[in-house]
Amino acid sequence: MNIVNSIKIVSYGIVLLILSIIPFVAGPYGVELLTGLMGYIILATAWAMFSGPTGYISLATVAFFGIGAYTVAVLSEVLPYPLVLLAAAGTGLVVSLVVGLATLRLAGVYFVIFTFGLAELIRQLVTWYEVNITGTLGRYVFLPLEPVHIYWQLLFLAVVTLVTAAYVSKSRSGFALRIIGDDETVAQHCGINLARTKLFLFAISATIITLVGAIQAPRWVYIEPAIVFNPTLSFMTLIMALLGGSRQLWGPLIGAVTLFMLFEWLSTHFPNHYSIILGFLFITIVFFVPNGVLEFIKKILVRRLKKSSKTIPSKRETA
Amino acid sequence: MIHLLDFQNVVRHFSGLVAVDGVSFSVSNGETLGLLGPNGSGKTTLLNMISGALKPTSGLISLNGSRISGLSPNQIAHRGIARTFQLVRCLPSLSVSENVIAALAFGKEKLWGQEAKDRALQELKFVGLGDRANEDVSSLTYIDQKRLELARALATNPDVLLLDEWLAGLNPVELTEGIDLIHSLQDTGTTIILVEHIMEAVRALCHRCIVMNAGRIIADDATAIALENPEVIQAYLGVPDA
Repeated sequence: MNIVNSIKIVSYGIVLLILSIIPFVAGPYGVELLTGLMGYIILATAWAMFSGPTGYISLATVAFFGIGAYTVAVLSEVLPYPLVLLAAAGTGLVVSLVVGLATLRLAGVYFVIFTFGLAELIRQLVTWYEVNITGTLGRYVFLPLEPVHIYWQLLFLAVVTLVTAAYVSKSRSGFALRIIGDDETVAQHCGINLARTKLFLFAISATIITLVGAIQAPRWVYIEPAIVFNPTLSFMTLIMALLGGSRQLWGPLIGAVTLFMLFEWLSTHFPNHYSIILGFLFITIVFFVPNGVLEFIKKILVRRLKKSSKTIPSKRETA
Repeated sequence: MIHLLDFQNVVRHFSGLVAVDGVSFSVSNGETLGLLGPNGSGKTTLLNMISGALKPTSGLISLNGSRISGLSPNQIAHRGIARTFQLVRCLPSLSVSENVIAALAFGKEKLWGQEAKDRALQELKFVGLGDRANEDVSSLTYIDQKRLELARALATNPDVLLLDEWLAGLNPVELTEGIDLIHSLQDTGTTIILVEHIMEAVRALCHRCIVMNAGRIIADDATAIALENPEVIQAYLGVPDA
């Protein structure tokens, strides 16, 4: 068991090392691609940390992402960079706690609609504030950061997110989320404090999402609400996590890599039909692999195993 | 006898409807109390108020002398009350043993890891599911799902166990097995409140019965006496035609 573990750790280390030095050979386009990909890997994994086990489908991803980006835009010239990131995380945490307290009592489709509305509300509020109070719509983010610095920060955050997700899935809180996802009434009667458990993990997930927005803000140099509060980001995150399997640790990552590469290819080859294909993909995934590809493969393997173990005695019987 | 659970003038309204209307009674330690009555008489509402799923409109429910009415279900679970549901509710995405660990990990004792696994197996053995710990819930038959639900309730190590029609829907063989299982629970000294329609089970298991009709208690006596009460017979069978 220990040997298996140490092999695992060494191979993770090697992969991480390769990912860290890849920008030196990848060129500017490669770094840009990897940065976008890393961003979605974190978003999908952080999203699935809460929404996977509970089945609370959140469309508020972009709300937190945008809050992160705007905090950086507002504070980048006032505070040193590490403090700016800290402030962004803090803002995300506070907003998620307030939102969580208000919404986590809602279930099912009401929660989905609320989170979607929340993202729109925050976007409109920011727009209103910028237009009426500051008198401009967009903001500039000038930070002495090169694309590769952004990539490394995201790589670090991705590792932190995956380690957190792995820890949560094995922890008592993660187990509580699975029980809540199955049956909230039973969860309560088992002694689980529903509000506290849901709020705690929703806040962790939302804070990580906020940090992705904060770290990526300098990429665009110029930001405005329409860019950083674009609801497509929430849908992309959701569909990536669902494709890979939102209840598996590696599911969201697999979904993010597959779909990000596919969208990249589609947007260069079919720039005009991109949205149609995207919509079609959404429907296909939800319809055919609602529990994700990993779960789907597992099921097929189990079915085959069962079949092969059944065929042996039946042959003996006929003989 | 020491009173374990106490109801004092408990009322529960559902907007205009009075489901439970000024109910008072006590349950003693180690007692098995049958809660009977026709459909809609307020039995399940009463059970839901004990477990915290519903809060009384007025009145007081106390356990071991301290008030539990108004607390949330998870707080009440920690105080020592466990329940099963009228329609069996197992956790479908968890294994059989994880279903029991769910109650161990968040109940009074907060067991986790190997300790929780060992205790879960112990509870499963008690209800006769010891060899199915690693299976999926979907592979269990109806009675086995009921057994599992019972094991989950017992895992919280409750002072009071609420069984809401736990024996309903079982075939005669399963019913005998079910009654035997509850008998073995009684031997451990667990206090049980049983909502049940199967008279065979009520007679075999309950020391005392409370019969309800339209939200009120119409009889509260030793089982044999309560079941002979003319008002009880009338509530169940109606008034004979003239």
